Amino acid sequence: MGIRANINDGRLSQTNINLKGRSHKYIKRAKNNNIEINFFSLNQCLTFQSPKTHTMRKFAMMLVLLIFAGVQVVLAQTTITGVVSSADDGQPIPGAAVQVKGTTIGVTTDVNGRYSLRVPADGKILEYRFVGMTTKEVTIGTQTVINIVLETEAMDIEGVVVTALGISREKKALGYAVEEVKADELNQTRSGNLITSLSGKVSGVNITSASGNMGGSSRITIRGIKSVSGNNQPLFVVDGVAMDNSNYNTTDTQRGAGGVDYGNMANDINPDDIESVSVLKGPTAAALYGSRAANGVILITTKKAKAGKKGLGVEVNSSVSFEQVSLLPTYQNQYGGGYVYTGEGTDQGFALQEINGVNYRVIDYALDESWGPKYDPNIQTLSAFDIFDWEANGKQGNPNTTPWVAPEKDVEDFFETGVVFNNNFAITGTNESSAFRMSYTNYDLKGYMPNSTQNRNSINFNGESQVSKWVKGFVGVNYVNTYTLGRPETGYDDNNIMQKFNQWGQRQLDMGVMSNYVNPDGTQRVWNRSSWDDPTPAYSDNPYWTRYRNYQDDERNRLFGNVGILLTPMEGLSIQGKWNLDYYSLVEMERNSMGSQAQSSYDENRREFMETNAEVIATYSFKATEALSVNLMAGANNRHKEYQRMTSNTNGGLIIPELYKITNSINKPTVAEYEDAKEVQSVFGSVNFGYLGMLYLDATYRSDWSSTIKPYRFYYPSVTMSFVFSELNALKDNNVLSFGKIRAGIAKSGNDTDPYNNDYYYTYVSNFGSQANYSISTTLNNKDLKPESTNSFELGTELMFFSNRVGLDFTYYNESTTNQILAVAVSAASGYGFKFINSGEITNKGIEIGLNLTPIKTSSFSWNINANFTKNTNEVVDLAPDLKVYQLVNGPFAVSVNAEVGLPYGSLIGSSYVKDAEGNIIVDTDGYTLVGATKSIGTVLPDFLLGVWNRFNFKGLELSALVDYREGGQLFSTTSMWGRYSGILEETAATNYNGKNVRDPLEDGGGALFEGVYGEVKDDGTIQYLDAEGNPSDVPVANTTLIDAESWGGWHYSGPAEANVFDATYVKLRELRLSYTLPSKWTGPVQNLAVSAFGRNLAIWGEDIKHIDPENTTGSGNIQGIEGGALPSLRYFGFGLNFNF
Amino acid sequence: MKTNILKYTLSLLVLVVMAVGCTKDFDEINTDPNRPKEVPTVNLISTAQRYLTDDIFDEWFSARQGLLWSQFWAQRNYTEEDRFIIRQNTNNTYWRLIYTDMMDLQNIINIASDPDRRAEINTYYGDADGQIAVANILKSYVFQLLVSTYGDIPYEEAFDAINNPTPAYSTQKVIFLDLFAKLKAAAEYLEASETTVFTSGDLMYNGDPAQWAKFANSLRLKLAIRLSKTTDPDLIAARDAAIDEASGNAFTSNADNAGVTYLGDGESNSPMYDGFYVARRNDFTVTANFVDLLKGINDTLNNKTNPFAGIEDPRLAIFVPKRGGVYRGMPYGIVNQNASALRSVTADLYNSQNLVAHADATVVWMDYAEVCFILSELNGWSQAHYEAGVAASLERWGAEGAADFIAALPAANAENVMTQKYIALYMNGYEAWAEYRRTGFPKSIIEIGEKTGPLSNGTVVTFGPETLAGNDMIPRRLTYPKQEYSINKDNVDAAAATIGGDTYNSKLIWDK
Repeated sequence: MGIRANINDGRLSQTNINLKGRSHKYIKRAKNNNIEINFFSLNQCLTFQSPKTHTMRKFAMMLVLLIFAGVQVVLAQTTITGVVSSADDGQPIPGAAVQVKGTTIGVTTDVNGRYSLRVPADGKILEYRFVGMTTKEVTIGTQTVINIVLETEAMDIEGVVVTALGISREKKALGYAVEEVKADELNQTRSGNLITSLSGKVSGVNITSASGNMGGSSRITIRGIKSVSGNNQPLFVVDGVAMDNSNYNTTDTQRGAGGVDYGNMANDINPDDIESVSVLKGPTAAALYGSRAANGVILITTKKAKAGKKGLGVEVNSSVSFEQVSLLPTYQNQYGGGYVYTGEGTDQGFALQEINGVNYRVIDYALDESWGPKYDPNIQTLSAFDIFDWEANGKQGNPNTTPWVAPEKDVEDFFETGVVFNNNFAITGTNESSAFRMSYTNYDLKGYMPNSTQNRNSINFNGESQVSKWVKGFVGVNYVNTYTLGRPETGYDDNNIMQKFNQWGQRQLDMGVMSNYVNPDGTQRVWNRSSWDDPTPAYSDNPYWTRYRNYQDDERNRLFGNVGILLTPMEGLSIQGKWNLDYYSLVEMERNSMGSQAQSSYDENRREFMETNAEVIATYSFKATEALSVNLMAGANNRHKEYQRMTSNTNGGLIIPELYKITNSINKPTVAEYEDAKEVQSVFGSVNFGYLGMLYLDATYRSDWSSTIKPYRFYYPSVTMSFVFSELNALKDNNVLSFGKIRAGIAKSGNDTDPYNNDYYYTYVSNFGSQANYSISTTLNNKDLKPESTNSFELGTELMFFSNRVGLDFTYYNESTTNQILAVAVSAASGYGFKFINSGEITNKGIEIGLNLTPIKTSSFSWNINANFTKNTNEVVDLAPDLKVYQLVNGPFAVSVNAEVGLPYGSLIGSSYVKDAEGNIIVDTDGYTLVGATKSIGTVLPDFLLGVWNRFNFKGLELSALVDYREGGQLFSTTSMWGRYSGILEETAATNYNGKNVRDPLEDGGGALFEGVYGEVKDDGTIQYLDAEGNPSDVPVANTTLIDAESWGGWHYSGPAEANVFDATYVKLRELRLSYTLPSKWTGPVQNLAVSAFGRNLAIWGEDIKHIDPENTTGSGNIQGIEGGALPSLRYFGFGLNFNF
Repeated sequence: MKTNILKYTLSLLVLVVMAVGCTKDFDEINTDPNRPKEVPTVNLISTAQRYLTDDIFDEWFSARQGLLWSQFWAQRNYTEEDRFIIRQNTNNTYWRLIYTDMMDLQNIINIASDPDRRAEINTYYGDADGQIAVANILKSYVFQLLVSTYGDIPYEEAFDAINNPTPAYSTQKVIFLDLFAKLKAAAEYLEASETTVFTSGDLMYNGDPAQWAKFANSLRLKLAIRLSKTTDPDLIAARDAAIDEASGNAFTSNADNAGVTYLGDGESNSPMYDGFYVARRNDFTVTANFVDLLKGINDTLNNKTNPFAGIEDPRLAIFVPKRGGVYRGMPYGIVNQNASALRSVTADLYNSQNLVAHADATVVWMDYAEVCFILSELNGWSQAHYEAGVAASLERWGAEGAADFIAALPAANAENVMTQKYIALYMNGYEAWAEYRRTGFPKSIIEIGEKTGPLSNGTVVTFGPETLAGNDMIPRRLTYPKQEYSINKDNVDAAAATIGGDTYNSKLIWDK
C-alpha cells in the first residue's frame, strides 16, 4: 500500500491529496496546529490510517509545524541527503518526514522523494516517517547519503474501522462499540470456519461450536438473546452482501432427539479470503440495517487488490491439520452386556442354550444394556459373532465360543485420525487504474469418523477499475462448492453411533470383531441379534454398518457477490449504486440400507435460496465551519428473497438394494414442495457532525417496508455521540493518558417475521388413496403481527495509557426487546397447538471489557495480552397475559427448554430434587431421591465469558495462546441419563463407601448411593428430616442406604430430571500457535515466508460433567441446552506454510 | 457545474427511491403459494377420520397406554408403562393431537354453518346439515373417550383459539348431557335424510346417512351404559331417553361397524403396522393372563377361576401367535430384567405379522359385538344379546366354530357377559380399561398386590409399581397432561379440585 500526500505548494491543500493506489473519497482538513485526515469510504476497502493515538497526533502536529513553519533554521554541521521510497513498489515517497531524533529539526521529502537536511553535531539518529508506513530510525555515523525504504505498516490499523453499510469511519468518531478482528488473528489455526475462529476473541459475543461434528452448526449471539422465538443470530454481511445464515436442521436435531446437523449457511464464508471482520454489537452500531439489526452484524471485508501498483502478486497459504478424539465418556470396564440370570437353565449369569447337544452360555443379544455378568476370561460364551460365523458356515458342527472379557479394541479404536488439507492460492494483478484479486481455496477433510469426508472449493474474485476520473466500477464474485459425505448423525438417533456406544449398548463388544460387519450373504453382522436363532437387529445396527451403509451426503453450491459503480462527480460527493446477490442450492441425501434395523429408505431434500439487494447510497461531506465537519448520507434499498424446497422420501422400503433413488420405493414416494418469498424496501440516511476532532454526533434513520408485516412500514432511528476528552488542552501531553474517549448512544431496531404468518391457511398433510387430506395448521396465525422492536442504550469508554501500552475498552449496554413475536403454546383444547401473538419483553443488560496490555516491548521482543470479558444478564420480563412459560421445545425425555418470566432465557424445566434450605437433596428411607416439583432446574445461558490471548514475538518467532473460559449455564445430558440407566458409564461399576463394587449384592455391602439426607415432604410442603429408620429427626441425617446399582441407574430416568443436569462451565485452551516468519534476506523474491505449528481445543478444564464436552450444540437456532447423544470432542493440530511474492 | 451534478444526483436518488418504494405487490408476495385458504369439507373429513384413528389406536397411545392398562398387551422390554410409569411427553402429545385433530371436525361444522359456503357444499360435496351431524358424531366419540380417560375436560369452551386460548374445563355431567343431546339431534337428522352426506372423503361410511345414524345411536348406548350406576337425576333422564330411542336403531351387523380400513400402500398404513414394521418397535406382546383367559385356564397364581374354564376360545389363534409350538403370553407388569429374560419365548406379534398389525388392517372404533353386549346388560344380562355379541365378535375376527363355542359357554350373567365383552374389545384398550373400572370385570386383570409370573426361572412375583406415583390400584384415570399446567393452569387446577385431585386414583363419576 502506498499512501502519498502530494504537497506541491508547501501546505496541505484543501482540495486534493493524491492517494496513490487508492481512489477513495476522503476529507482532509487542517485545523490549528493539528492535522486530521478523516476518511470516509463508501465501499469495503479500508485500511486507511488516521492519526489517532497520542504519538500519532504528535507526529501530525510536527508535520504541520514543518509545513507551515517551513524548514527550521538551526545551526547545522552536516548535510544529509537521500531518497525515501516505498518497499511496496520502489517508488519514491513525497512528503515523508525526516527528523533528527530528539529534536524538532526536520524536513519533508519533495515530489521525487528526495530530501536534504542539515544535522547538528549532536544529532546521531534520523527518523523517517510516513503515514501508513513503519517509522525507521537510522544511525547517521559518517554517512552523508542515506536512502531509505519504508515498509507498509501492517493492515492492523486501529484508526479506521468498517461500520454499517460498509462505511469506513474513524474509530474515535464512533459513539458505539465496534470490534475488529484482522485476518491474521482470525485465521490462526485454520479451522476453516469463520464463527469458530472468532471464539474467545471478541467481547460481547457468545459462540458455541459443535466439536466432533464435521461441518456442523456454530452458534453466535451478540449481547444476549433478544427474541423469544425469532432469529437471534446476527446478520452476516460480506462486502456489502447480506449472507443468508439459515439453519435447516430439524427441530429433532436441535432438541437432541436426533438427525443430521447440516450446519448453518455462514459456514460457506471462506476464512482465507477474509481481510477483516467487524463486529457491530448492537442496534446502536447496526441501526442502519433496520429490521435486521437487532442481533448485531458481522461485517466481513474480503481481501482485494488496490489499483496503482503495477504488477502481479502471488500469495500462498497452506496447512495440514489433524483431528483426534480427545474426549469420550469414561466407561465401566468390568461387566458386559445383558442382565445377570439366575436359577434353572442358567450358568454363571448366562442363560443356557443347547445347540447340537452342547450347552452354550448365550449373551442377552437383544438387550442393549450392560448389566451382565462380570468379566472372567475362564467363562466361554456364545457371542453373536460366533453364531454368525457358524451360520455362515452352513451351521456345520458346533459354533466356536468367545471368552467373556473386556474388549481389546474399545470405543476409542473405532475412530480414526482425521486429516485436513487447506490450501489457498491467490494472485493479484494491478495497474494504475485497475486491480483484481483472484483466489482459490481447497479445504479437504477426511474426518475422524469412519467414512466421512468434506471437500470445499472456494473461488473468490474482486476487481475494480477507475474507468474515468469520476467513475469507478467494481465487481466481487464468490463461488463455493461444498460436498460432504458421512456427516455424523447427532442426538438421540439410531444412526448416531455415540448413542449406541454411550447410551444403549453392550460393553464387551470388540471393535476388531465388529469391523467385520457384513456376512458373506450380504446381511448384517450385528451384536444386537433379536435372539440366538434370529439374526434380525433388535434395536441397534453394527456401528460400522451404520457408518458405511447408512451414511448421508450433501452438496451445496453457492454464488454471492456484487457489481456496482461508484461516482465521484465533485469534491465531497459520492454516489454508489450496487446490486448484490446471494444464491445457493443445497441437496441433502440420507439413506438407510436394506438389512438395517430400521426400514430401508432414501430421503432427498433440495433447497434453493436467493436474495438480491439493489442499493443506492449518496454521501456528501463538507465543512460547515472551520471547526465543524459534516457528512450526509442518504440511500435506498430493495431486498427480495425467495426460497424453495422439495423434499422426497421413499415409502415402505427400497426395492433394489443399494440403489438410492426416490423412484426405488416400494410404495408411492412422499413428495412435498414449499416456496416462499419476501420483500423489504427501505430508505435510510444519516448525518454526522464532527467538531474539532473531539466531539462527534451521529444520527441515523431507516424506514423499512416489509411484505410480511401489515401495515408495512416501520422505522429505526439512532443517535450516538463520542467525546474524545483527551483532546482537551488540559489533558494533552500528559504521560499517563494517551487517549481517552467516552461514547453514548440510543437506537431502535427490529426483527420482523417470516412470510405468511399473518393469514389463515390449510395445509396438505397426506393422501389416503386418491383422497387428499388437508388440515388447518396447528399454529393459529395473527393478522395483526408487528415486528419485534429492540430499544437499546449503550455507554462506553476507550482509554489508553502509557503510550498505548495499556488499552481499555469498556461498554455498558441496556437493551429491551418488546413486541415479541411468539407462537405461544395454547391449550390444545382450543383446537390449536400454538398461536402467534405480539407480546412480551426480554431485557439484556451487560458489560463488555476489552483489555490490551503490552507488558514488554523491545525492538526484538514483544509480549501482548488481549483479554475480553463479557457479562450479559438476560431476563424474560414478560411474555403475555397469563403466560409465565413459553416452551421452545420439549426434549425427547425429561426436560423442556423455555422462556420463563423472571428468569434468563432458556430455562430447563423438569422434575427437580427436593432440597432443604441448605441445599441438601432429600432422600427417602429406601435411599431414593424424592421427586420434587416440575420447575426450572437450569438455564442454558452462561454467567460470563472470558477470553485471554497471550502473544509473544521474538524476532519473527511468534507464540500465541488463546484461553477461553465460560462460567455457568447448564445442560441436560441424555448421555448421562441413559448411560447410567444402561450400566455403561463408569459410575455404574464404581466402588461404594464399603469399598465394594456398587454391583455387588446389597447383602455383601454392595449397592450405590444417592448423596443426600433422609426426609419427607409434609402436607404443608415443608420438609421433615428423618433418620435412617424413618423417625422424625431435628437435624439432617446423611443418607447411607445403598440401593442396587440397576435401580440406582434406572432412577436417573424415573427419578428427578435434575439428576441429569450439569453445569456447562469450562476453560479451554482454544488456540495455540507457534510460527516463524523467515527474514526476507533468506528468502529471496519470496516474502513473508512463514511456517507455523498450531493446535485447537487442546485442553479442557473445570467441567462438571466428565463424559461429554459441555460446549455442545446441534443447531444455531434458539434450541440449546439439551444434549441428546454428544459426539466426541476433538482436538486439532497442524502445520502451516504461507508466503507471497 | 457542481450544483448541477448535485441536482441531477438528488433527482436520480429520488427516482430510485420512488422506484423501490412501491408496496402494492406486497399482498401478492405475502400470499402463501403452498397452502389454500379454503378447502372443501370432503378434504377435511378424511383427515379427521384418518388422523384420529392413527392417534388413538397407534403404537404410542394404544400400545403403550390403553392396551397395557387393559392388560391385553405387555411390553417385552422397558416395561415402565406396564407399571404405570407414564411418559409425560406421551400424555402431552396425546392430548394435543386428539384435540387438534378434532379441529378439522370443528371446521367442517364452521364451514357447513357458513351461509356463504352451504350452497357450494350442497351442490358439490353432499349435505351441509348432514356434515354437521357427522362431525358431531365423530366429536362425540372422541369426547366420550377423553371424558372416560381424564374426567372433566375442556368442552364447552374448546375450539375457539382466537378468543379463548385457555378454555375452562367442563364437568363430566355437563359433557355427558351435551353429548346425549348432540347425538340425538344427529341421529334424528340422519335417520330422516336420504342425501349422501359426503360425496367423497368419508372413510367410514362413504357418506351413507343411515349408517351414520346407526353409529350415533350405538354411541348413545355406549354413553348410557357408561352411566349405568349414576344417581344424578339429570343424567338418569338423559341416559334412559337415549336407551329408549337408540336401542332398536343401533348397529345390527358387523357391516355397520365404525372403523377405518387402511390401504396398506405405505402412505396409508394402519398405525400399528407403522409402529411395528416402519418404526420397528416390536416391544409388545400379549399378556399371559389374557392368553390364559382365552385358553380357558384358571389363574392359579391368584386363585381366580376362569369363567370359561376348559373352553379354548377360537380367537386365541388369531390374537396370539404360537412361539415354540405353544401359545404363551408375557407375565404382566414385571421389571425390565425379568421381561428381557422371557422375550424370546413369548408370542411374537412382529415376526408373525399378526392380523392386528397388517398394513391394511381395519381399525375399529366401535363394533356390533359391543352393541350386543351393551344390550345384554341393559336387558338384565340377556342371553340372546350375549350370544349375538360373541357370534359377532368371532365373525369380525374371522374365527371358526362359533356355534360350538357359544354352545359351550356358560349362561349370561354379569361376569360372563363382561368377560366376553372384554375379549371382544381386544385392540380397543381404552374401552376395555373403562369397562373394567366400571364393572370390575374381567377378573383376569391382575391388580396391584396380586401375583404375576412365572418368570424365566419359574418364580412368581407380586405385581406392584416400585416406589412410584402412589398407585395402589390400576389407574382410575389418566392425569392431566403436564403442559396444561404450564399453559392453562388456572383452569386445570380448578378441574383437578373438582374431580378430587389430579391423581391416578381419583374416580370418575361412573366408576364403580
